Amino acid sequence: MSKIKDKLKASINPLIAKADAPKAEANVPGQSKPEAQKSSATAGNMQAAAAKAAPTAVEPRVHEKKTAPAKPAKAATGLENKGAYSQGCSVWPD
Amino acid sequence: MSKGIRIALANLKGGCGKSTLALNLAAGLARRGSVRLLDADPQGALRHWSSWADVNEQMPVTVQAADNPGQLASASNECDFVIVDCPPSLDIDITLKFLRNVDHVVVPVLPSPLDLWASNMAAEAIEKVRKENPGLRPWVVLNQLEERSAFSRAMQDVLGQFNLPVLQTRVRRRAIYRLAMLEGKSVYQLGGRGLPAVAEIEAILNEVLQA
Ligand SMILES: Nc1ncnc2c1ncn2[C@@H]1O[C@H](COP(=O)(O)OP(=O)(O)O)[C@@H](O)[C@H]1O
Ligand SMILES: [Mg+2]
Repeated sequence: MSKIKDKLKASINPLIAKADAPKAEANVPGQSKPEAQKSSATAGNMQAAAAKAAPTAVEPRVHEKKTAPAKPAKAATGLENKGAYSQGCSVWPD
Repeated sequence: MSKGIRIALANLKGGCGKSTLALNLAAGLARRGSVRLLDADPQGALRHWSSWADVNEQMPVTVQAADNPGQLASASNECDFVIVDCPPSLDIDITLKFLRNVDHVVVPVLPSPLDLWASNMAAEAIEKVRKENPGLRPWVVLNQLEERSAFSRAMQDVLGQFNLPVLQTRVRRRAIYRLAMLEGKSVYQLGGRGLPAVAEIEAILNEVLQA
């Protein structure tokens, strides 16, 4: 169990380091998309993004693409969460 | 004159328990004062639940669809407590609008590496919002804890590494939370069967309200 804890801790170090070193090579090298997403979440741009998003505010599921990589990985590893995930994402669509 | 206490449930992950906790926290708050539950998630899970629920007799909680802070302001003028169930995103307009105008945000996190990693983004997003709403108090709560899972036990400590306070209270994975939903109730309305879950919800409320 402490092995798991150590591994979990180690797994978040790169995330924390990335947060400490803001602009430099966030995410996958050579991909500009995550950067754009990142900057679109800054306070200044949020307003603009918000104004843009307003007419489509009723379609938030596009944002799930951000967590999309979680899906296959979860199905593969997270037996414990499988039910939660599948239900959580499909409750009363529309 | 306002000021009901405003608590949002938010995370960029779906399925982490925002709606489940929102409705049960609302039910717990209903024992302390008047409550309005704002359903800001276009999926409308809680609106559906409330159409199912025996709201007047058993659940003195009104559920209202909400997509703007004006609704939050009037709810907090009229009620002692307002709970906002946010959509599964932390960087879209609808969530941000609410987070800029609440007193607390409770972030449920599941005991898994994927959810742990996503918590880092949640922490970043909340930090940004706090520049505009410095009074915002964020709280992470571990949900669907499995007593015997090593992950569950390790998560509490590791979650503390991010820039977000973690509630001492942990919510266990209990079928009663789902059953309550199905019956159009909260765990408070299920008698003895609901008591362990009620204790968890009460403990969350005590931690958050005493902060
Ligand atoms: N503590 C818990 N114990 C058991 N099931 C839970 C618990 N919390 C949430 N669930 C279930 O997990 C799924 C996702 O929860 P939900 O509240 O819909 O998450 P979200 O609103 O974040 O998408 C639902 O099926 C819900 O019934
Ligand atoms: Mg929900």
